[in-house]
Amino acid sequence: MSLHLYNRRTVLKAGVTSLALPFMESLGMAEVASVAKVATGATPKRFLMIGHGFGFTKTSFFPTKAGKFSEIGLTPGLSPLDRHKDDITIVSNLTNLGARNPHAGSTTYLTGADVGATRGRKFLNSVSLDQVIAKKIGQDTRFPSISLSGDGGGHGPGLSLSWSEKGHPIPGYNNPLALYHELYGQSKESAAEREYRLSQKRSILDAVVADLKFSKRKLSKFDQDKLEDYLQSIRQVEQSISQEVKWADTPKPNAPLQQPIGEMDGLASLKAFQRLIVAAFQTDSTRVITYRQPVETLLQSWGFGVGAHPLSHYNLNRSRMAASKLKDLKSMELFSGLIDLFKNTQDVNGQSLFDSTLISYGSNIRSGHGLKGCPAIYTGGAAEKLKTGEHIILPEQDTPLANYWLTLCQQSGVEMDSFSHSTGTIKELIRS
Amino acid sequence: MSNLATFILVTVCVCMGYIIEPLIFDLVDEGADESSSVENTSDSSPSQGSNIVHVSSSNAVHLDPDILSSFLSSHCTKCHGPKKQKGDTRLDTLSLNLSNSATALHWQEVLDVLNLGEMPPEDEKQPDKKELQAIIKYLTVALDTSKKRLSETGGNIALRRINRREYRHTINQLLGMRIPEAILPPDAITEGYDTIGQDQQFSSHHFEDYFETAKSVAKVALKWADKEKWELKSYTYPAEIQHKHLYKKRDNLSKYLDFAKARGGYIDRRKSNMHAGIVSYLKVPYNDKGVFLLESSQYPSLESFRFPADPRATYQFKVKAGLNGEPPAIRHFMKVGIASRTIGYLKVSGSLDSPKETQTLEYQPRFNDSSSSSRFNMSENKVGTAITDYLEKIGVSTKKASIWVDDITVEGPFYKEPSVIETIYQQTIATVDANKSNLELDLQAKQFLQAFMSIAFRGKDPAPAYQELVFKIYSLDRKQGKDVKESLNTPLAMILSSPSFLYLMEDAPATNEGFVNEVEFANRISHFLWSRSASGQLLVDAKAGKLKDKTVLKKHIDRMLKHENSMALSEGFFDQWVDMKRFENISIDEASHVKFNKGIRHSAKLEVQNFFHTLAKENLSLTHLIDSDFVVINDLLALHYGLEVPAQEGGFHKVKLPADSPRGGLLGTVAFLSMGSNGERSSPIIRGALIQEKFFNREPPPPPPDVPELANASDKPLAVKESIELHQQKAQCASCHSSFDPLGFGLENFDLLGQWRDQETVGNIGKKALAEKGKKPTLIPVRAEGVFPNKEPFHNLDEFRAGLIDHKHLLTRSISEGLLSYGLGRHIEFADQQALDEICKQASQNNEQIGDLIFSIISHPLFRKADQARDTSTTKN
Repeated sequence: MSLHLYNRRTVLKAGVTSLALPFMESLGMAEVASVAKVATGATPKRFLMIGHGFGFTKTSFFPTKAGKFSEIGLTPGLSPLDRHKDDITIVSNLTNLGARNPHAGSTTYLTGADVGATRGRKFLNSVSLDQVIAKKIGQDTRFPSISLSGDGGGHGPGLSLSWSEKGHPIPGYNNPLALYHELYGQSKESAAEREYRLSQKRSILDAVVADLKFSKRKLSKFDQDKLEDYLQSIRQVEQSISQEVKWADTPKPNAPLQQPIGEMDGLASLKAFQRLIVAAFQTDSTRVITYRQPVETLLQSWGFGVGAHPLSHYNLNRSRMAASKLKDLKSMELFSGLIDLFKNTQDVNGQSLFDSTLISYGSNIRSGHGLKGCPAIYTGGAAEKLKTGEHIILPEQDTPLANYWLTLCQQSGVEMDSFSHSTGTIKELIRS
Repeated sequence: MSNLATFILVTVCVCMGYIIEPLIFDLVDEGADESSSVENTSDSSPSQGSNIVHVSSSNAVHLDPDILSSFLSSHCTKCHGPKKQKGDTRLDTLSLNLSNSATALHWQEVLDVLNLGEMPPEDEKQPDKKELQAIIKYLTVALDTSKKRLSETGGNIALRRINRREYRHTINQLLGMRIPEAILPPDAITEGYDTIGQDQQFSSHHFEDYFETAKSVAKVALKWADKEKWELKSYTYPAEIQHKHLYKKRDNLSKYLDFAKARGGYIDRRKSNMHAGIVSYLKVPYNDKGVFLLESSQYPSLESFRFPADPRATYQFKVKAGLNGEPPAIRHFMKVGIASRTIGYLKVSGSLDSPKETQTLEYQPRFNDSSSSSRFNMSENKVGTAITDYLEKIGVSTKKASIWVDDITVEGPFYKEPSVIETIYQQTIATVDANKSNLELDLQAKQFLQAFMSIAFRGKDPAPAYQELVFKIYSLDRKQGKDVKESLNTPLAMILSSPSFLYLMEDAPATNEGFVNEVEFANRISHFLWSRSASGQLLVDAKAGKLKDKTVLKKHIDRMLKHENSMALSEGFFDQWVDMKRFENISIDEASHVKFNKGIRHSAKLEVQNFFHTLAKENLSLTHLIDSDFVVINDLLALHYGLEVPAQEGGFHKVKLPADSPRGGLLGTVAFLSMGSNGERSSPIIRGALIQEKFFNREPPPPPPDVPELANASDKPLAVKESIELHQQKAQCASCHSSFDPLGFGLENFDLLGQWRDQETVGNIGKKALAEKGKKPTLIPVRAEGVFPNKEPFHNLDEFRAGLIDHKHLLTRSISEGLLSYGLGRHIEFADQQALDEICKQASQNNEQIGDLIFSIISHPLFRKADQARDTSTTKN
């Protein structure tokens, strides 16, 4: 009975889009996913940020005219997005003001920090957008956020797009199989065994903290800061134990997809991750995902004989220029395929996943060594008032990328007043 | 000092003409604390104050008004001066003293607009290219230096964690097990050595990974801790046993096919192909006496040779094999692996009629190699493409296998000295009869844990509360009904993920000179040279205070450098100094460069390590990095370089070069030369940048963002030299490239695979594409000509090398700085210049011999100096 009520309430609140769906289907989905956590009412919003690494071909990728794509058409580089042209938006004149390294498309993509600007430190990043969002909306899912990462090639220092509150790199899953196990692997442990294991783990943490405190007495302030990192990590492990306890009685959802194979090349791994991203949202295992896409291994799977960096300097000869254009095209084909997946999948409430998700795609790097006017594409229906289906040229050059993030998040219902180096929101993105 | 604190407080992000809101990081507060705590230190103990080196205005970069003023007054101050301040920018009053980030960022902004070509505006008088190039170069270098100065911490060694290389070695020392490095998360993600504490991070995933790794390794180690050593044995596997399996497989497949045909309908194509393959294979002569190494797994595979292995020991592997007919020399090598790991390459000689034994490969099974048995796989060495494509590329028309294996022999186990866990297990738990008293056993188990803790913590006493908790975990597991070994597993994992193990803790200095104590000093030495904790005689002498005696110290350093453990210095220091990551990440299209096969990749990396190891072991001059009359190579590289290797036992050897050989030095290695390529052809730009950084000790500044684009792609094929000159057409690029690009030409006689050439192809079009168009590649003679930064020209490789030798003091500086940074675990700063001067001076007196250089670094007071920012007022009570 409660299930019935809950579904009706959700349908009523979810608005027009989900009303168009068959009622029974949404009920069925909820059962499959065996998730009863969405009882709070409003349709959850989901966030996916994708990092591309090196930029795109200057002459063939970026649109030059502003306006609806249905009127101005798509550039050759963007052409694979044709079937989604009413749903995607491209924003020009954004610059990630913190970024200075023209070989690092991703290091500060979601942080906006100038990593070299802190006195006494060679490198210091700040918290990434996904972690800020997860802190606000992550408590309702088993995984507050998930980071995925392929190999390098224009991403720059980092282990994924995500950085912790202290500016430390957060490692990303690089193996689809491992993520699959994390999301859907069922534990064979009994309740008593689990209790023993967790209490043992707590004692272990107590012990290492005792060691730490003992050592700390003899150390300088500098060293104490270092050990503070360690202590912080122990606190996080403690939190993850609490998280485990909190979710202990909720079985993991049934996997809505086949288990991926163990070893795969760049392309296969990217496609497997695309399916897992959609699955993780579908089963409401998380609502925040970042993906630093593979670059070098992807080029290898496509049979490109040239590496990512020489390719990014495409303007030296014709054959490389052609390869660079092909790379853009193939990347957008993959992105287009991901949008298809989102459109064709329904969440636990039977609503199209696309309608509740904000998807962004981009990099710090526009093209070659250029950081001004970074590529920024967004799509998805999480924010009703964001404009869609057009190319927007912002009036001011070098509008801070942080303003873009702030606008996207606010419009998607995340309560934020500022982010990183933001100076305000971008009204040009919002429907009047 | 209070001024300093206010500068630290606000980090302003300036970009393109306007100032954005202050970007305040977490660390800003810590920065403020840090300076105030320094102040407290000097207040509370004035005697210490004078020793503290601060980032002060004395080491700040000052811009030279003579260089700037004419440019500024003719191109800038008309609009950004006393009369007008367009864009709120005024340059005539901007401080030339780059003593804080805000000023440096203002000047960075000036450099940015010059790089962008935004200023001077189009309608104003433009500076000429040379003038612009000079000013950009000057500002780039000044700001790069200023950035380094501003990131200095005053010589503080941030507490450092053992990195994953050190973890691997230390685990081997403690538990006797070999672990793969990739099991742990990567360490620092930024430039600089992996030993540098300041750049190391520690997050919750580190703790979980360290704990889980330690738990699984300790489990295996405990299992083997009291096992008797096995007898040395030789296991031989005659390859013809495979023959029986093949008959069986053929018969099974025949049955399937007969059945499927009788049934009608679907027939599994894979199975029928496999059947046909086996049938034809079984007709090949000699198939019944051995195994041909073929690519496809449908055919005979040698994988099923298994035997029990002791993970504490090493084994020797060899093969008796012959060549099938007369394949080209590149097909004489086979790759040997266990699971997905490569253990090495073997050269095959002999024939089908008289197979010969190869050299041997030594390996230690990994702790997790399933159920301690080893499973080998062998294949022909080639590139990653299908064998048929490969054979076509190397011009072989036959599809025949080139290597035929008669039998495989593994000999072992060969034991090293027992690990810590074995020794203390022997001394404690093993003394009790396991069936007797639980009480006695548990008592011994605690003794065992105590002894293990003390060694793992490098002689530091653990906190009593900590010890209690470790024992508690043990006791609780025992109460759950687990046996002693099972119950010791978690406590061992705890110890191996505790701060006192993971961090190199050093006490406050006990002496007035501010030196670390003797045991800590020994640990610094041992981590420097061997990447693991101090042990053995070094530790004994440290405890006895004998390391103060320079003769004793020298003896230890010499012994340690000669020991095989000092390969850790090559793998750790030298790999990073050379920047071998670049080599590992280089993507050379294997399909069109078949000589760059898996075996060459594997060997090239080891060549660089073995070369440095030889220099250190034999105390040779570091000028050998520029030129040497020997190389350190294996059979595969000998073939690649066209050299003869005298038949010896396997692995790498020092081989004397013929007088006319262009090889020698780091400069002549395939690794260095191919990382100086763009994957398609040699890249004098990358080579030049590497040479300027390594051999002239001047790292080129990072490329500026947003420089204007070069001219568009041209249809005309260009010679490399022309395309590089194209690269210098913009002042923004030329400001740095003009100094290092010309250096790269010195090595142009080596192609991207490091092979000698007298001619080069014009343009980037592949041979195949040309052949399709019916064209022949245009060849022009290679001209290895260029100029050194001091404008001295060179005309060929010999002159280039001679010029580098003339600058050997810069190479010495570069290596010394690197060694010191790696050894101390911190960045080298302005304040270290005097110590470095002393070290380099001594090196030049000793003919730049590496062993002596390492000794003078270790014996320099700087190497013993404790963390300078240490707060001595709260020492242990």
